[in-house]
Amino acid sequence: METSRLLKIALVVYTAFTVGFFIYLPVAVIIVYSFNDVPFFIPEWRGFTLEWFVKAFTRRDVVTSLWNSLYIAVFTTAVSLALAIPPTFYVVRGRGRVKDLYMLYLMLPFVIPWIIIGVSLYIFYWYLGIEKSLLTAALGHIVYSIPLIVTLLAPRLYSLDPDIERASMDLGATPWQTFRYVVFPQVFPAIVSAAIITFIWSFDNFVISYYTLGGELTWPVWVFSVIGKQRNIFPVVMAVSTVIILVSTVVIAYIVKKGYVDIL
Amino acid sequence: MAKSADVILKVDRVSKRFGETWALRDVSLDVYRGELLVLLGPSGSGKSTLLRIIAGLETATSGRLYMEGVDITDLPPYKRDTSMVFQHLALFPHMTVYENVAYGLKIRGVPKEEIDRRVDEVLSLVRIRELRDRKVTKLSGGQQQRVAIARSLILRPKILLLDEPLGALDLKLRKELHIELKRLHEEVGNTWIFVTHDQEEALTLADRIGVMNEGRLIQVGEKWDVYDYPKTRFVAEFIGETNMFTVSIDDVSGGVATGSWKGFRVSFKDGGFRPGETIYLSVRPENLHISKEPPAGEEYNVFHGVVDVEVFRGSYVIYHIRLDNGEIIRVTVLSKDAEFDPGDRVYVYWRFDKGVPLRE
Ligand SMILES: Nc1ncnc2c1ncn2[C@@H]1O[C@H](COP(=O)(O)OP(=O)(O)OP(=O)(O)O)[C@@H](O)[C@H]1O
Ligand SMILES: [Mg+2]
Repeated sequence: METSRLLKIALVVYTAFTVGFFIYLPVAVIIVYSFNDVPFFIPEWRGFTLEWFVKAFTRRDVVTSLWNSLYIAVFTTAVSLALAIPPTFYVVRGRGRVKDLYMLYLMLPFVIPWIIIGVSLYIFYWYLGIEKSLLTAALGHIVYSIPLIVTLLAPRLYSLDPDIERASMDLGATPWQTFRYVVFPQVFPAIVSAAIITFIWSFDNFVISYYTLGGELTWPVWVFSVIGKQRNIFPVVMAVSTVIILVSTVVIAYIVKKGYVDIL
Repeated sequence: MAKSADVILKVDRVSKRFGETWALRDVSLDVYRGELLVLLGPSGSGKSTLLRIIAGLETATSGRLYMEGVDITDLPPYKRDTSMVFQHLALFPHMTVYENVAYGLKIRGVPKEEIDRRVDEVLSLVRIRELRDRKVTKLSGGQQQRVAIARSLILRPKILLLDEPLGALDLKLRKELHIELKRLHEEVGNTWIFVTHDQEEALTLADRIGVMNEGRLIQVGEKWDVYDYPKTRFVAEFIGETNMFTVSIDDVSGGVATGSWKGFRVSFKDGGFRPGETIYLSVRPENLHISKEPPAGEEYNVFHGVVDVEVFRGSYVIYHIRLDNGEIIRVTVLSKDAEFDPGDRVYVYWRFDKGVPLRE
């Protein structure tokens, strides 16, 4: 009994340590050193400055790449939700062979590696003579986001008691009113979670974007294009990273506090 | 009580198939205005399916439904004047008690003041007015139960359908709610169809009982009739306790049939039987008597045996008697008359006309 207790504690501590050491520590280093008064990265404190923030957000290429990332992430999230929600209902509520095949068809892109999605779209666009742009990159993201959203929403839909919808119609609501007042409010938190996760991965994505972007770069692709090539770029990247971390923490905290999602 | 033969709902030869299973087979039923009809049957007998078809939540494979003479077979649920209390209640989990109960009126666009008034009224009726602003997920089982009933009752449906609404509650609470539901039915005065697999619940609540098995409606009638004159062995054994004897008839004369059951002679009322026929005779434990002396009189069937087990049930006692032919039968006796002990040699007897002969 005592050993199992110790084992549990050990496992919990071990996980906490791993997460802390490999994620929080490097991130904390970045945040702290983005205020360090050195034009490159050294593990040594030389004094506080906001210079890198000013520099970063006055560089056109940085700001543009951030806007591009934001644009793609918003577009991907909105379009993918609109495309993925109706079929999720069908996949959860439907029956039979056609449904099973449909589900397989929708879910398959989920297991295709990003690099393959990226490269095949690259060839596809080239073959059809489609000029690559932010939009073509967003399409690449959407391909992958649809199965992601289905995966995130389906468990919530499965857990809904279909009798609750029957009760609503029994009480006089039409199918549409039932969706509006009974189904949607129950699924809403899961939709918000799915939207957040989709937004984050799309904002972050490098591999698909790299092969499907035109001349305009997103933030991750821009970082790739400059790192190791431009001198003294580290402080700028670190400053932007700090801002991204702070902004997303605040936004997520707000959403959770408002009770829009059911984590925490 | 059932008020005359004013039929509010007519179920006409309804069948329902799910793939290979027939959930309902050729069910016909008249429901009377103002009655509390209980549909009783074991799990899987088709009770919920019948209720859902009446509510319009399921479509019949064949057959028709008429409400006050109008064919409603093809109406969607939201256009029917019925309301259902679901087996697992199906309250809206994201809403408060008030929002749940107000839902149907809100959908109908009833003005807010009237909704408020009627919600208060119906919550008082089911005695949970003080819970008005609670989330329904924060209520006890019995309280949720009342919300579900209130949510339906507020619409003043012509027929209230209740699908084992007390299934999830403990025995004591169920018994309390039985009494309350009876009162509520009297107060509201509309027609109720109540589904259960619990025969005691059926006997407590019902005006009339319909017994279902394997998708068929086997017998419908006043509860006393169904109890006293079951039409089949299944009904006799499903409602109440009974002793069942398989009797081969060898003589029918003067309105009395006589035959033998494992060495004992048994007589009962003739139901158009012929010698050579085998029937089942159902005798309720409370219609059996025990004594140490043989009974005087010709109108009794008499067995002889030894008291095997005595089961004390408070106000009454069940004796298990091992008869001379080795079979066990059960006899109930009021506790004040329970003067026998295991090992006592006794006569067990009943009047001819208390045995119910059944062909199926
Ligand atoms: N949606 C469905 N799909 C397939 N079969 C079904 C469906 N609903 C009911 N059945 C079958 O129909 C039969 C009757 O089911 P029903 O739910 O009406 O029984 P019930 O009498 O209400 O039982 P219980 O007391 O367990 O609630 C069962 O054999 C059941 O498996
Ligand atoms: Mg049922």
